[in-house]
Amino acid sequence: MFQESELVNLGIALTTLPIVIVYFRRRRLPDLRWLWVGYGLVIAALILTVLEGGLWPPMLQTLEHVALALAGLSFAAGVIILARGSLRPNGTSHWK
Amino acid sequence: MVAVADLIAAVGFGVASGFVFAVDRRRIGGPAQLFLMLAMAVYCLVGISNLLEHGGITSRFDRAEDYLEILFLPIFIFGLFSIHSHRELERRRRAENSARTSEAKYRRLVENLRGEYFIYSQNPDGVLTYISPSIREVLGYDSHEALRHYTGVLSDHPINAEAARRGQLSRCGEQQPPYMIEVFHKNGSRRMLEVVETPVRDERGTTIAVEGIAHDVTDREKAAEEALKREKLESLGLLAGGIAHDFNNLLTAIIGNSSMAASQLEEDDDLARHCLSEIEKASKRAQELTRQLLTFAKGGAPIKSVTSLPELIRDAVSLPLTGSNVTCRYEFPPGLWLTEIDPGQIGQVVHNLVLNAVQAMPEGGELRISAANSRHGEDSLLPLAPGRYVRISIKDQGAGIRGQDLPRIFDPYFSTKEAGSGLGLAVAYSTLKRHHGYITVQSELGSGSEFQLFLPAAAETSDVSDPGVNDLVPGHGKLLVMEDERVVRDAVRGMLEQLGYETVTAADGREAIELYRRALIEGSPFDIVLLDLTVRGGMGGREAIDHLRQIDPGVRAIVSSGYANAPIMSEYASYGFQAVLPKPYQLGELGQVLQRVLTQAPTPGNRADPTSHP
Repeated sequence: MFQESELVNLGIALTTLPIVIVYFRRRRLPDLRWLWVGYGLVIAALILTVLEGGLWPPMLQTLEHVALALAGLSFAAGVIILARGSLRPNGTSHWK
Repeated sequence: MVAVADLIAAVGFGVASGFVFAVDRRRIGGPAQLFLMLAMAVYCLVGISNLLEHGGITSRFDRAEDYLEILFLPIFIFGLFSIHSHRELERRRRAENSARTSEAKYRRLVENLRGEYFIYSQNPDGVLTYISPSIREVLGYDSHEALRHYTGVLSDHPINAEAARRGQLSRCGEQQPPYMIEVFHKNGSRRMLEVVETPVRDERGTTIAVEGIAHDVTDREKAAEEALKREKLESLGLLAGGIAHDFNNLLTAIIGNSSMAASQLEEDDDLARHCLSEIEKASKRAQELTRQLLTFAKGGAPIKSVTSLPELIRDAVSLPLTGSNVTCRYEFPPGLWLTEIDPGQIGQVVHNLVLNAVQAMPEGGELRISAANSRHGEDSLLPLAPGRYVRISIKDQGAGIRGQDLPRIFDPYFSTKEAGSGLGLAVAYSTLKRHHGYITVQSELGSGSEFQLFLPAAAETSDVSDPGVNDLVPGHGKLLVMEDERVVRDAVRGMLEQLGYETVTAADGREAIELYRRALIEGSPFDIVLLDLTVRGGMGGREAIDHLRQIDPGVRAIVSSGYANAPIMSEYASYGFQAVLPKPYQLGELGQVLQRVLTQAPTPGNRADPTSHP
């Protein structure tokens, strides 16, 4: 069964995703790469959450949680890189 | 597996949240930091909730987590936008800081600019909006003074019209090559500036200003101008020297022949006598012209003769006074000493000074020329060797000379006149120095100027050596004339024969030596040898006299040349000659010189074997 909160979350994600992609593609911020990866994994997790209600629940649920775990790691890496990169005058990370 | 993933997610988001919380706020930016921290915290809680759920622990938080999760994306997206905004602000702040630093750096450079440069900017209408303070060193104005009065500093020099055209093109946005402009210094002097202008455009390409650098190149331009003058003068000197010889040779023939013709005239043939006299006068003037040209161009050692100054001065003054309404008053005391000078050179000096005086009195006035005897001892204030001098004073009632110009008026190329060459007084100074004399000036603005010339007096027993045209001095003796120009050779032979001399001629030095040797062998030597200094393509007088002196150390020789400025002409004795005859010469001069040489005791010495060849 689909949960109401999951659908709302997915709706928000899919509505904002094109705007976010278009906006940030125009303004390249290379040191946000890992945040983008994390953001993508969160979106993937939200899609998997919704899908697991009807299709291969155990596998999709596992994938959803793995995606969240990877998102957590990506965000952790992302914020560290972001903080370090902000010290550089041109705003780019030497990790890119 | 799921629980492990939840644990990793909780830890990952927790670390991310904690790091964002802990990191310096300036690193990420205030709002962005808050949003990211909250977003990470939200998913950290979601991970913990999931971990609890999959660990079998059910709590009331499960339901709340579903709705809490909804907050993540909006908060995270706000966070991203905030990061971007923060970055933009940072970038602008840095750009502004950089611009401020750069502006301060260039302002310091511009404000501290010293020496010959200043920087300015003007708007598209040509109004100056900024001038760097260094303009004070270049033009004497303060920046604010220059901004107010800059239109008044442009001179009337023709190049300013071209400068105005180029300035207009710069303001229209066309980059121009460097150009020159002439402006007035605050002290009234003219300064030449080299200007480099760059149009400044806005983002749309419209010219909004023109920035320029002005470089004071007055000294450089003056040096270049002087170098050009020097080159011209050197060319003139070469030309003058080159033509003087031929010119004077021709004049010798003209004067010689007219002198002979005049001596053959009947007593009552006044018209022919008058015509010949005019020919001689014109030839004399042509001779002076050549000498003046040489003196003007190169100077040259003076060919001194004992000269009475009053006549010389009167002659030199008459020409520059012609056509002017300046009257001249002479004061020459009786008993004025004779001087030992080059009449041509000193006449030129007097001519130049009088010409200056006449130009200084355009409305007319009185010129006072006086002369007086003057003795100078060791304690003389003037740089003159102790001895007797004649002082000439030339005093005008003109505009006078400014105090600041007085120390420079004898500098070459210094002139206060628009069209002045700046050479007249410089030549006067060097001429006086070559005569071991001196020139001084006293002047007061508005009261006129007085130049004083100090010339060495001749020995007390001297007589004026200038012979009159008709003072023929006949003589007798055997003369050898070496002259390469046939027309001159014939004229000189005619003159000598008319004076009563037996004459043999030679076309060059070798022929002259051979003739001299043969005459010695035959026992009828020449009394005097008259040698031309320069022979085209052959041996000249200087080399010939060495050989003649080897053959006959007692040879009496006279050097003659159209090169009046050749050193040998003033130092003829040290080369072995007894006298000098600058061409052109007249019958009277020739006779007097020959008579003087004939009456001199011959140089003691033994004649060498004339049969041995040099």
